Amino acid sequence: MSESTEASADMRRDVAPTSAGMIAVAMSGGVDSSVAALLLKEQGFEPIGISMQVWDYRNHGGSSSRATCCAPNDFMDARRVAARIGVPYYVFNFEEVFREEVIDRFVVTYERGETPNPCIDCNQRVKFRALRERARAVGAPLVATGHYAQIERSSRGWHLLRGIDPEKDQSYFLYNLSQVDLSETIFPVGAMQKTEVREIARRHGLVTAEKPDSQDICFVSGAVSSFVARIGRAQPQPGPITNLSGDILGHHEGVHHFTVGQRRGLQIGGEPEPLYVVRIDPESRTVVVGPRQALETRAFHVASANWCSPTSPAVGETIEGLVQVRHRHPGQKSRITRVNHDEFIVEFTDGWTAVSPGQAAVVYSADNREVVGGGRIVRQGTEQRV
Amino acid sequence: MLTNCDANATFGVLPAVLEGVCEELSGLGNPSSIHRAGQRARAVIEEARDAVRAVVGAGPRDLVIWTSGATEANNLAIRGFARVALRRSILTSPFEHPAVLETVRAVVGGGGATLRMIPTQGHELSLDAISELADGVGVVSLMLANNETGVISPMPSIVATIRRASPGALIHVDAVQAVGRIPVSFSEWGVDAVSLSGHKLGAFSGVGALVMRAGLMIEPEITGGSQEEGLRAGTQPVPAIVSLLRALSALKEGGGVAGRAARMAANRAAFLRGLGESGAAPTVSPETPTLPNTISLRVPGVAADDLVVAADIHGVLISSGAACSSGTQRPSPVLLAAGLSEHAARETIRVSVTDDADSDQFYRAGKIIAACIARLSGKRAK
Repeated sequence: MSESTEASADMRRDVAPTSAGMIAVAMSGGVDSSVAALLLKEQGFEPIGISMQVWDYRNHGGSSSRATCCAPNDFMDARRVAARIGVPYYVFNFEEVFREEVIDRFVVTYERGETPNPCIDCNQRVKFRALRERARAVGAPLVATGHYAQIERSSRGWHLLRGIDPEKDQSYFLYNLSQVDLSETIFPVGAMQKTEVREIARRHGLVTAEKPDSQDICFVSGAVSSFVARIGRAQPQPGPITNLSGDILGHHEGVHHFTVGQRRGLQIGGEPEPLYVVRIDPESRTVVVGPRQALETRAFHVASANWCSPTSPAVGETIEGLVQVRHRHPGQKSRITRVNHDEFIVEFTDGWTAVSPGQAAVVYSADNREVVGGGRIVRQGTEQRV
Repeated sequence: MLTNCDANATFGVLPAVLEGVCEELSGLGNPSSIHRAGQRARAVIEEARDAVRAVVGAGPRDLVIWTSGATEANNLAIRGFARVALRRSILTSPFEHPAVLETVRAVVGGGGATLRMIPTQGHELSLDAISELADGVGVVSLMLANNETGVISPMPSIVATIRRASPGALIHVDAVQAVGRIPVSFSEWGVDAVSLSGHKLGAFSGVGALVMRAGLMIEPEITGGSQEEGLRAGTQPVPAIVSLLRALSALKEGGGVAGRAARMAANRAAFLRGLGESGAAPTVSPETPTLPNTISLRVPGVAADDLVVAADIHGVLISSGAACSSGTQRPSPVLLAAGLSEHAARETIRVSVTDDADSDQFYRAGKIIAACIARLSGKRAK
């Protein structure tokens, strides 16, 4: 189904950027967005550096270490880079929308016993919605980020492709973009290796050249469970830990301490093989544990689907492709059936894999190059909810 | 081309200051040195002291203490006065700049005094309350003209009221935004100290002054050498003082305060003509006296911070009431004290024009702001 795209060697816009070529660059204070701004400037755009103030770190004690993005110290770096390459720079406040669209979702998902992916929510609802709206309103019709992903145009429309660097590819986090989003977005470092990006930063004396990559969830420092307990609305309540047959093996302090697939921290001894969290039932506050095989599935159900590719399947259609069920997952051959507007079913064609409800399942083309679409894993099994 | 409609943040170094300042600086030594290079520097900073006395209406024997800026001058006055005042209470207002308010709070918090805050009526101080609050007060620190709204306090009557209520009070006036734009009459009003800042007058940043009535004694905040009669140690910032002297000369040559005020008023009017019917409305009633260059405008439905960015991108410098360099959205305490809601405060911009560009430029700046407002309101309407 994934027809070949008209890949041009020059992957920049072939539409003329409107007016003055102003483009908002989301600058996190990391090396990737720094170089993104630099490259756009060299290509003749008028970049406008924008950092997003999303979380009051002082009041919420979140991470301010160098290993996360968007901490106050990082604004200083972004500001210095912007000054160095000669582009204006602003900090926009998105605390309200971030709280609603990212933090609250994160906490509620945890409280439901699922595994959230806040970066996807942030991309979809903050960077590519709130930031873009404001940037457009102040005069910048295009937006750029330092994501490792590529955008190509064909006669059918816009195609979101994996980044060239397999280690850094971030296309997984971007499946929620629309055709309009893709048409107004540039990923200047997507066709580069990370090493090249650092080299460019070094050559231009950017202060961010040697900065470590961000790893953690930017708004959480320390244990996720204590963050959820602190921010969440629900009072954490204890409940049973059972095996697959329903025998009670122990008790826990609240379901937010657990995610599906988790092995550590169960504090259950004397079992012949390692135990994993297999299922969480938030209503009865039951954490079900079992052997590794119990996590694995051959098929699962996905909701909140978005088909970002112009060559996406029709409702009822089944396509072949690769499905990636978490960020570091290599992708597995699958048959993907679009059930309706919102949902699709994934069946692995070779083998079993552990999946976590709440995480994103992203569908790639059979050649593993293009993001076709994606959605949230809701449950194992292929039966439709009635 | 950038149009500076943010003169209250900094005026911008005047061309008349830049031209020739380099030659003037060469050959200037340390003003405390015995040799001729030192003497030349000393002569320049003394000449500049005279120019400062003239612009604030001080007498020839009143002290002009050079500081690093107005913040330091405010600190010197408030902390210095609090130590020597007959009574341990400080009278101030919620409209003050943080350089005053935070310093007063620090003195009060350190147990050095009690705080008396003047209630507000809209953008003005409640004059009726002053007479009661000033009864037996030790130190007073009030601004002459507000940096965000431009509102001018009726200083002669305020000072007279305070003097009646507490004859021994030490009265400090923060005149940073007023100097050079409206008349300041240090001696005539009978105040004890006035702060001013160089870069609000078109000089370099890095110099300010505290003008203090002759005969008053305070203790220094910064100790060291015996510069500034022992009241402020450290070598004076000679280049910045030279620039201030040139800026004050330029002011004088341009018709003095009256000349600048007239040009500023014309430029502000041109800006407002350019702005037209954009939906922006002044937050201060036209009956209230304001600085000739400043206007505080609320733009319903448009976030001030967004308008500042849009304006900047299109070449016009303005500011939001909310100081937001770090991206934290705190509404301006000045606007809140004036009775604006948090929401209204976040929709309020400050326009403060200079007098060193012609009116056409400010007319065009007004048109640009109107276009930005239209675009930003369109976003909201969607």
